[in-house]
Amino acid sequence: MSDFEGRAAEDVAPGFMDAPGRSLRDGLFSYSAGFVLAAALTAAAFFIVRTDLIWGPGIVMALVSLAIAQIGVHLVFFLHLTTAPDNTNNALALAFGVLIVTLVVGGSLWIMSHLAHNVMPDRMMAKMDLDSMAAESALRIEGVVAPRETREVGARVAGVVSSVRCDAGMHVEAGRLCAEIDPRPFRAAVDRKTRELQAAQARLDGDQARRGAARDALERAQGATRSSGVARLRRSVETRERRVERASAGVARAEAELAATRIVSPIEGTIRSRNVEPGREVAAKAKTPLFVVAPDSVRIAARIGAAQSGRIVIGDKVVITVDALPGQSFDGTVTKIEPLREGAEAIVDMTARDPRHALEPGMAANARISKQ
Amino acid sequence: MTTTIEAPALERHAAPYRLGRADGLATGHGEAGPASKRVVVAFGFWIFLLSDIVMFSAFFAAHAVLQTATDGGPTGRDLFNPTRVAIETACLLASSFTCGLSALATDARNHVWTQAALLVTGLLGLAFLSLEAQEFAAMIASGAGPERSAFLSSFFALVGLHGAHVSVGLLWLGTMMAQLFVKGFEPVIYRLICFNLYWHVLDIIWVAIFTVVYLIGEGR
Repeated sequence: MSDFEGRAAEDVAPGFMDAPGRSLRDGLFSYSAGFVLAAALTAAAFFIVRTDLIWGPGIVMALVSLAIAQIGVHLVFFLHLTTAPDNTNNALALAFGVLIVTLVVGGSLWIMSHLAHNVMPDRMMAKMDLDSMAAESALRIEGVVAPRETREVGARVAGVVSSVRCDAGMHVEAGRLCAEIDPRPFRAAVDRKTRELQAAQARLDGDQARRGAARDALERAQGATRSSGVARLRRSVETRERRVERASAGVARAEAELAATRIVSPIEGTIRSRNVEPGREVAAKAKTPLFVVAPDSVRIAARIGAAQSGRIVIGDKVVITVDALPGQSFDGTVTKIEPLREGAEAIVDMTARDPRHALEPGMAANARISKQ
Repeated sequence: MTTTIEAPALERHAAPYRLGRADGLATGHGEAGPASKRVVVAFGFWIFLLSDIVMFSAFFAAHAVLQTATDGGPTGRDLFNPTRVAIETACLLASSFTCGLSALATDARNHVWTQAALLVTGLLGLAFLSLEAQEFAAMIASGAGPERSAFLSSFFALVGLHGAHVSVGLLWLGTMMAQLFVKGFEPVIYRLICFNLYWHVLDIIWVAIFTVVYLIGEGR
């Protein structure tokens, strides 16, 4: 009789299926139940990371719980570990293994988190030092985010729109070309005015030459009749000089109009709305603007007491934080200090850069003003 | 000698879980004689597997500590493909199940079913390995190799160690199937038992890996 057939009654090794009293049917049931349970727990684990059914910070705990449950399923249904007396040795060995694993993993996490807490990277240390130094001289005030002052961009000359290069939602820098009005009529006007100027200039030059010649002749002859001719020529030159001035003003105006066919964004910001299509005719000074641009900077107004107002000057750097947006900060400067009620209080205006447009009007803002 | 022990042993099977046995043949007191070879082999292998788990725990600890040490490089969220991990998990779980079925077939001494179950086990293991190899190759090709950051070093060490275990298991499985085919059940019966334990434990380790490395790592 070989060893495995002579089943010793005292102990069972892990994974034993042929323990007495267990049939093939029992075995099939055990493995199938284990398979179904493990599959369900696995599916649950993959499911909970995809949904927001579980509160975000709790997902890790839920995953760990599901994993421990599944390991339990494997031990019981696949490895056939039980708490029965014939399984004591297996369970004890497992308990010892779990103890060591807990010590190694838990201990590593514990000690490394303490280490990370006490020994911060240099960069973070430097920032901390600056922060603590700044805190001594920093001034904290509370303000409110003001509505964004949007800018309307309209046409200053009438004409047909030949191209549109900006659309709603686009980020633009100051001076970015957003639309063009057909420049050909304006270019023709510039050419015409330039020719008029050249003609006026030529006539002026001719009169000046004749006056010079007449003056020379007068000096030689000293005749009374000739003197009146010079005076007439002088008046004619003055008239022609005025005409040249007018013509050059006309050229400047035409050139300004030609330049105005290029419709540019006056500020850095994001296009809020577009109200123009290529081929459409637009009027100068129309009621509806072609574009509305929301600036990338936002104004924050704060009311401060007299004691504080003396410590702030225009141009001071501020760092804005908002309770509604934890972890984000916005850099800005003090732009205006306006005393109220004989200097007892003052309104401070700050402008902060917010290119992602995270700050909403009415948000309570904390401003830290650092003094160098 | 064996017969004298066997007679009372069979009697006690009527109530195997009864506490405080009064017959005086309690385990570990030497009164019941030495444990059978099967118990000794399987228990010894169980101890080896637990020590293997302890080794894995060191790799897990390293990975858990370094999971966020990405050095500005790609994170788990950028790299992991949850669908592939789910398929890998399904392969390994199914192979663990078929491995259990092979143990049932072995108990029934059924050659055909044992070989069939072992073959399916091996094929599923092979599918798992090829998916993992694909993942590693894609990561290394995209510059996210083990040298990129401490996070990736620990990732490749931990998941690679598990993959190496699966590879060794497949070699073992192939050899054993050939031996079973040539020599029959008698000489390979302990190896089959040990392989069963080994394969189930690899699945247990994979449960920890897909939870800690992939699912938790994806959210970091």
